Amino acid sequence: MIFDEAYKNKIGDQLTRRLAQALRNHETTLEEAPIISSYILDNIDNIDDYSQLIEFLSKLCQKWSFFTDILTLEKTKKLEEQKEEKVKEVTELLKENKTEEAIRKAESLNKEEKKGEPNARTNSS
Amino acid sequence: MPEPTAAEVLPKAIVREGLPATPAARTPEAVAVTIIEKADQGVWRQGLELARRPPLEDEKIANRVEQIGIERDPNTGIKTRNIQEFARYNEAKEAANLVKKFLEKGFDGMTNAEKTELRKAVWAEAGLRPSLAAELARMTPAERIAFAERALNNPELAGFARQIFEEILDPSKVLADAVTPAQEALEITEFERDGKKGEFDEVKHRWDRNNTQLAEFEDQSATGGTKGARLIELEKLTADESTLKAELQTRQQRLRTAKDRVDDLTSELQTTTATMMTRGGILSGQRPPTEIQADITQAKKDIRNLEDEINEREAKLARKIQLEQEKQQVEQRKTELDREKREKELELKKAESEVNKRKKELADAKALRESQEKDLVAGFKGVVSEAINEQLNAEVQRLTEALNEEVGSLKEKAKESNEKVMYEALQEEFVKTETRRRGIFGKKEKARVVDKTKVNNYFDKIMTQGPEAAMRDLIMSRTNPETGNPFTGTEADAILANKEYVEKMQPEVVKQLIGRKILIGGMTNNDIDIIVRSQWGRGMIEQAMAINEEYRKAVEMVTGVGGTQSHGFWEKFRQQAKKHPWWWLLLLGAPLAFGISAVRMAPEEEELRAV
Repeated sequence: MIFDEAYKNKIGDQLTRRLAQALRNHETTLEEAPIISSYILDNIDNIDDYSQLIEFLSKLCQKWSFFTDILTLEKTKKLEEQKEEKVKEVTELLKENKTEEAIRKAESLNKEEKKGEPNARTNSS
Repeated sequence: MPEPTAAEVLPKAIVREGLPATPAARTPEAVAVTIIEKADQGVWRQGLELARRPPLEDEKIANRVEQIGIERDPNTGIKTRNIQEFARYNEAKEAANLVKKFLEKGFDGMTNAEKTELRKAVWAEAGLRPSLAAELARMTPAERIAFAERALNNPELAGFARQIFEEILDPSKVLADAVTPAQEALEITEFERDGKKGEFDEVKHRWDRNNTQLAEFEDQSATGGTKGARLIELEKLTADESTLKAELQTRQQRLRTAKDRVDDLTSELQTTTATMMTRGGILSGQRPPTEIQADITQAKKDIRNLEDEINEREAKLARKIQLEQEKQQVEQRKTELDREKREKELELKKAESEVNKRKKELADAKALRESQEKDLVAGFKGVVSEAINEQLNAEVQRLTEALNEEVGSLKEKAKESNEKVMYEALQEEFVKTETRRRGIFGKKEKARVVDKTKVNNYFDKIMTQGPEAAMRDLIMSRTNPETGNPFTGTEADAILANKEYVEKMQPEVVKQLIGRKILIGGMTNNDIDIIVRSQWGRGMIEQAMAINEEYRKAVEMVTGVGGTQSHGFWEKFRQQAKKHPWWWLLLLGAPLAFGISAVRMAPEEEELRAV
């Protein structure tokens, strides 16, 4: 995943729309909206990589929980991406006939996935 | 292009559900709609900017606008504005609502006519800055529109506009009402004046009446008038006085004689009557009683005539005295009334003068109030222009700071003390502290701004005598740490004798001065010719191209790849530099201001062919 200006804009767009939705659903108020907007605008430009994005979203969710969906989606995407990368690595190892190494990788991947599943369910619920 | 994921589509889909067509202003729903509109336009930042602005209070706007006009209906308390006040009131209300609309809905929410006016405001403000004016003049209509709209959609502009607007709406700022006290003071003095007028009129009435009486005793025939009737009468009585007195004396004598005669005749009649009664007839020598009686009757008639004549003369003499007294009284009264009239006239004049003074004070108060109300209208009308001005100033400020930062960083890295001296001069010499006021109602603020005079002086020195002369002055503007005094000309010359030093510092000096010159007013075509044709100018440009990738790319878009050694490079460069004054700022590695970089860095095909 490349974290660039376009990606930052995509997150900004999602946060903006979620804020609008929260206003409509009375999850927040007109008095609070300026504080939320300021928080996003003042911090989003300081994000340079994915981990900073997750940190920013986590703090945002701590303050205003209605943004949790966006944080969860971002975390899920990251996990999926990492998984895809590892699958690729396993495939490559198999291609190179490094079967034992490929099996070890695949097993560790399975273990990680099993660990991640309950968490993922908790986050999405 | 891959299909968008659920994560990308979901929030958009959720929010778009069942949006009302025309939501009420500044409700959560309305704000949500506006935010989404902005996000749909791809400008989510503007959406958040709209959300972060607290709502503009209609009441505050109404209260401020309502201040226009002075008089109120005593029964209803509602302002009763005259035609001019009413026009100002409407103008202010319209202008304030327009600003409110701009701040709440953004540029895109304005009507086409309003957008046109806003673009004009941007061009007008930009046109006040020579470099930008030159840049604008060379833009196509579409580029000019794009330039204006970038400025108008900039959240920073809305921020400035809101600040300026809030300052105008500040409830503590109330239009001073000097008109009402002045009006009351005028009414009091007018009342006093009317009292004095009444007193004067009453005296004047008596004075006139006395004059009329006096005129009866005056001879104005010499001045074309007539002789007063009483004067004629008095003159006649005076002329007749001796005669009258003589006649009176004669008649009084004759009266006494006549009375004696009546007495005598009465005695005669009594004697004759007694004789007749005792003797039966009158004696010889006696007259008959009838005859005597006739004489008595005649004598009495004479007495009555004499008495009438005496009365007539006495009356005339008395009348003369009366007229003389009357004349004397009228003349005496005239003296008194003249004085009294003068006093009352003076008092009236004083009262009138006081009224005129109060009238002038009222006119002044009205004029002051009118100008305050006009200021308020102008304040509302000028919010966006003022915000554009602020934004352009902020942009210039940022660029100035970028220049300062660059010099600051060079100064920090510099190891050699003379290099530090030059960098310090570049950092300090071109800026000064200035007090600025934002708009008519804004607060005064101190700001570090470009020192135009110094920049122009140094720039002129470079243009006329070359960079070393400017460098010499820059060194001499600093304190020599060894002596604790400013560098002398000899000391500066000694530093500049080091050619390596000059070669290293010169491009930065030139670059810094050009940058600041662009910010304060731009360069003439002649300046550009000098720079591009001079060795030092080319050196600065070559160095900038070598170390600044963005600048190199921008230049190569115009001149073609191949660098300064390629055929016709300097001529192409010279022509393009004249067309785009702000292009020079790229030399500094500063982001180009006002989105000009996005407007037209590449020349049109025809221009390239012509080169």
